[in-house]
Amino acid sequence: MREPATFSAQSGSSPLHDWDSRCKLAALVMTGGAAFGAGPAALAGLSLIPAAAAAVSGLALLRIAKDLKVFFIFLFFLVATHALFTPGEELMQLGWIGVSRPGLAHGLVLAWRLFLVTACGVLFAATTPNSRIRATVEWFLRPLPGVPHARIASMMGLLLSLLPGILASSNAVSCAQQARGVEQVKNPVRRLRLFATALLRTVFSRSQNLALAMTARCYSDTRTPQEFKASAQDIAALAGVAAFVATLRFYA
Amino acid sequence: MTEPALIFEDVSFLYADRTRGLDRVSFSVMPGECIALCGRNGSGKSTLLRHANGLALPSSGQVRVFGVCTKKDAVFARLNVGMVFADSSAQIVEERVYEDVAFGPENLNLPMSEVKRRVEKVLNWTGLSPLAAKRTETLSSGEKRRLAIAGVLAMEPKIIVLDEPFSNLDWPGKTALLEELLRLRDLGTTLVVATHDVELVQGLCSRILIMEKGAVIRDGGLDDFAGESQILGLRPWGRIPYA
Ligand SMILES: Nc1ncnc2c1ncn2[C@@H]1O[C@H](COP(=O)(O)OP(=O)(O)OP(=O)(O)O)[C@@H](O)[C@H]1O
Ligand SMILES: [Mg+2]
Repeated sequence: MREPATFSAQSGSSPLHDWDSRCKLAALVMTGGAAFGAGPAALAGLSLIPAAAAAVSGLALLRIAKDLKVFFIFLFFLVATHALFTPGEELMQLGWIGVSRPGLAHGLVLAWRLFLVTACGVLFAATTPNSRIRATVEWFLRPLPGVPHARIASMMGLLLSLLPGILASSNAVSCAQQARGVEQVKNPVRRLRLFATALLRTVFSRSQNLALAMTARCYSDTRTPQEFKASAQDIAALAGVAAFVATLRFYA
Repeated sequence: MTEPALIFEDVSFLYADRTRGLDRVSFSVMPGECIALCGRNGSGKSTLLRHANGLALPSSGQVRVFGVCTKKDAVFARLNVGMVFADSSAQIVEERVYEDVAFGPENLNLPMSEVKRRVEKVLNWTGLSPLAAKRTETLSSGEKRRLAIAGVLAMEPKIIVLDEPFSNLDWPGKTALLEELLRLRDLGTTLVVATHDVELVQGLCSRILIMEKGAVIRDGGLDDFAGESQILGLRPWGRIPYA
């Protein structure tokens, strides 16, 4: 049984791990924001940011990519639908259906943007512990009047701790069912139903347990505030990203 | 006269499916007292412990922690009564060992320096310091048990209730935990330990409660049970299937 790696921080001490989480989140939002509406040239430039981050992160990128298999399939279908169903100049003929050049180009740009945003998000999540993500979000929301910042941060924290739990549960459920001979069930619909109900039950009891455990240890919205320290390098790195993103906006 | 740390007054509890979890339970525990809670599987030990810190509220009767009713102020109960669950992995909420121990003190809104002091102290006590940065779900079950206990200790509650804390531990693990509990007792912590292993806790607990079908059927000092090892389940009784 392999542990899912994607939605939870992996230990390590790379420059990306050590980068102040507020700067990291700001850089993520800038890069992701700039990706929307960006053309191919700007996207190529922006892609350098997660590429550089990934290079210094020391993360097991192949493992993460495997976890994201479904996402890549989704991207493929996104490109395919655009290529096949957008009218325009034909690039080539696939049987009775034509691949359109503008459709393909549009689909590729869309997929690229989504990939870029996801890559940034995954790099952030994989190098920042949950409790830190929670505190960072709270730090950004705190100055906003009328926003229940502590509530939102706790909800995020809960979600973040449940996501890997759900992946792990689905692994555990399929192992448990295989161990008791679920392969003997030949009807795929029945098998899917068995799997889905067991998974739902496991996830539900997991979230209930989590809530109970948090209550038992006096979970409250007013918690010890987390300490943040941004070094001069942290801020310089963020300024670098900001300058780069702004330059791309102007020239690409 | 000093006030009891924990009082159960005629407490009954019905689960949603009408199972009787507790049946008119009454007893009290004085500050600094250590009691063992025994009884066969399904007799209601875990249900009783959940009432002690307000995670479950009685259907009738009341539970009081230092005089405060859990129905009126469940948070007060949780602040004063730390609970170690039977299932340690269900008790761990954070991603890393260090963060999980810090979770409780942070909920108490203590200053960060105090949180750090407590976490380091408790990690030392429980021997978890070398594992501080480890991912919690990768711990062995014995290590998870120690982490669950560490998370409770870091909150420094006056009363600690433990649900079968010795299960899943190897012999050195059991004795280390026992030493830990003895130390807590000597510091004046009130302890309620649900266990099937009376022999193990007889040097720790001076009093034993025995439960059956949700009711406390016996309550007495260790001496009262002398020569009754069968009742306690100390020795196997009844027919062993292959004998
Ligand atoms: N959530 C629930 N809903 C319905 N019945 C329950 C629930 N939890 C426990 N029970 C029932 O309440 C009774 C007491 O359970 P409890 O878990 O307190 O026993 P226990 O003494 O801790 O047993 P063990 O030694 O096996 O841990 C059992 O008969 C059990 O089936
Ligand atoms: Mg139990």
